[in-house]
Amino acid sequence: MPNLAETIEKRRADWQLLERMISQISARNLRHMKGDQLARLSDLYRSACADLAMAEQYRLSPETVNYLHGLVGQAHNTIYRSRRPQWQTWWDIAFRQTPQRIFQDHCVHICGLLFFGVFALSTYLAYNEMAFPGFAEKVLGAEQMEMMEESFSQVEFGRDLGTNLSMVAFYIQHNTGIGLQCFAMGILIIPGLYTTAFNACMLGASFGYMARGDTPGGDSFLEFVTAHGAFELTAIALAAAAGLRIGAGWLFTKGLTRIASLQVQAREALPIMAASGVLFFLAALTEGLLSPSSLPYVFKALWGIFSSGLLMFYFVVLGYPTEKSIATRPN
Amino acid sequence: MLAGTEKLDCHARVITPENIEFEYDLAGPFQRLPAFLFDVAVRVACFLALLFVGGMLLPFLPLGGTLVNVAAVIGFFLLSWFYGMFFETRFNGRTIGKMVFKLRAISTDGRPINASQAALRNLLRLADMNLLLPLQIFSAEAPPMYIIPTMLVGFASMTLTRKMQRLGDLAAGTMVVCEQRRRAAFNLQPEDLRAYGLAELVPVTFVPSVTLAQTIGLYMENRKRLNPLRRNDIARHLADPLIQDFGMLPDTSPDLLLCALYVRTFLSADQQQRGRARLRELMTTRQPAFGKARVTGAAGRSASNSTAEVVGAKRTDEATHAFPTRPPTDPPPPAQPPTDPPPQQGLP
Repeated sequence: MPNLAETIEKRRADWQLLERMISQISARNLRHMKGDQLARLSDLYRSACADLAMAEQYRLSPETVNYLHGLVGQAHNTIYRSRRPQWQTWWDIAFRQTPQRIFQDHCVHICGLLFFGVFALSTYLAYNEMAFPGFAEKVLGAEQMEMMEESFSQVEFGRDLGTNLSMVAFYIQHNTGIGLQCFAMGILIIPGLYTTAFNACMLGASFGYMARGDTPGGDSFLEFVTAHGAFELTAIALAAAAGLRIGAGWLFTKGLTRIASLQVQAREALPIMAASGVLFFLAALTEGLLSPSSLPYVFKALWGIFSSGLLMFYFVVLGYPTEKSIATRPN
Repeated sequence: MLAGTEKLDCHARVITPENIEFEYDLAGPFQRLPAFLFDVAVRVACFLALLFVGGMLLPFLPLGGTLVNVAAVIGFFLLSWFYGMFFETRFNGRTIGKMVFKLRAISTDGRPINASQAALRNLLRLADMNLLLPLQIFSAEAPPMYIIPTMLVGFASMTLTRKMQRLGDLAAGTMVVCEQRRRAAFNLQPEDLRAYGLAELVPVTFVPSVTLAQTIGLYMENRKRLNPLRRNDIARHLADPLIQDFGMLPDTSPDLLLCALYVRTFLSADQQQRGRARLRELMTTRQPAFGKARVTGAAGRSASNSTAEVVGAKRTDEATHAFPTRPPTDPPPPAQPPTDPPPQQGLP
């Protein structure tokens, strides 16, 4: 076999040049390269690809083939880079596609029913002490009940700005974190549903217990939650729905393989989770700045009504299926 | 690659837009765990640095501690949920830990990952960290918080999927590959210089088939890991028919013959020339005592200080002198029936 080694020898210089160029590029950015350099790089990459394809013909030794696999892989990863999010389309995604998807999404319906159903039930059970004695105590625990009573008895509306800002940051971190946990657990279906129901039950019991009328701090509690309740409760339900949508990919495949179905559903779930994140953020702002402020209650109530109206507008008015969206709906 | 030569596992084949198929080395759980731990360390360090800088700037800021407090809490939130997403989008599928350990997350079709894939696989990491154990396993008084990750779900998922994907990878359609730069060794030099001499004895008309060439290449790559006895055991199946075919002495070492064939097939004429020159040089300086040839040189020993005996470069001498006796470790070769298949087809 004559020219094999010579062939490799000839090609080797090109391969090494490609290798050098790649290592330089990963240090700097592809965009800062000059045109002729880019042309040279893609030339070298294509010829390395061709060499790999011809390796069989050339009867290259296995270690050369291995080397070429590595080289082509590296060059491929350098040349084809991750796409940044495309901001041009965000308006369409945020205000047309996402609300319409949420409006029709059965997972949102299920999680909405589950969350608000359990929430309402738990509220009633905790509120009606005569019929269901000891429910709130069992769910919340005596310790937490005392803590709630204490903190809301002492609450002074009209804190200084510093405390308020700190609380906004805390609510963003804490509440959005809970929402993201609900989302991530959703892929495992059962833990996701359990987390949702658990949160609904706890929140409902707190509401019911504080609303009994004779609970110390109850009035302050109700005043406190009026403004941000709509945003926050909806956000939790939406996060759980986004998680369940991924989990549903395992179960309802619509003719795809399980993995492919999971991937399709996960992609659909992301905008729902993003909507939930925005709601968590708005809720945190309200909860940190408006809820504890010394403004008269009527403003807080108005904001509560306004925020509910805003949600209605987004989910129902923007989300109501149009003829066009029905026509383009894949299923 | 020939059909059926695909490697068993730990490899993923992708087809590039140039219509070339190539393979990636997949990263398993125990390659990914160090990168993950490194990322955790980086995040903790970032958070501490944030606190430190905040503490330094404390006297100069309006609202004093509030801003630092807000920055710390928001920083903690961003680091714990969006660190991986940011880095994998910005740096083409790599976080700092992945850069250090030479890993990269890519789509299963070989394309780079996009922002939504990076978001999905990083947000869903929490599900992979299940089952979560409570703090109480350390002390009975600890609060009942389930925060100790065992990562069993992710581990099981990686074990059960061919591309070693955790749940987040499955949902996002990604996989993690190793980018270890492979050694740029184009051909291995046989450490026993007599291979160069023996290569000259192989008939000029002999051209190995594609499969034979590949087998020889594979053998050379792997023989370093074998002891001399095993080398001859393995090489014999291929070498014995060839030895008979070439009319060499029956006690020619099978291992050495495969080395010689490697030299003939994969080394350029120039390299072969140089090898023979070195062999000749060694022969004249060492004053070899023929007959005590250690046919199989020890692995890793460089040729210049090898105690391996050398063979004469001239064909006429070699027939009588090169391999006069069998080394003591070499069992006699089995007799070859004359109806043996031709060597090119005698491959397993």
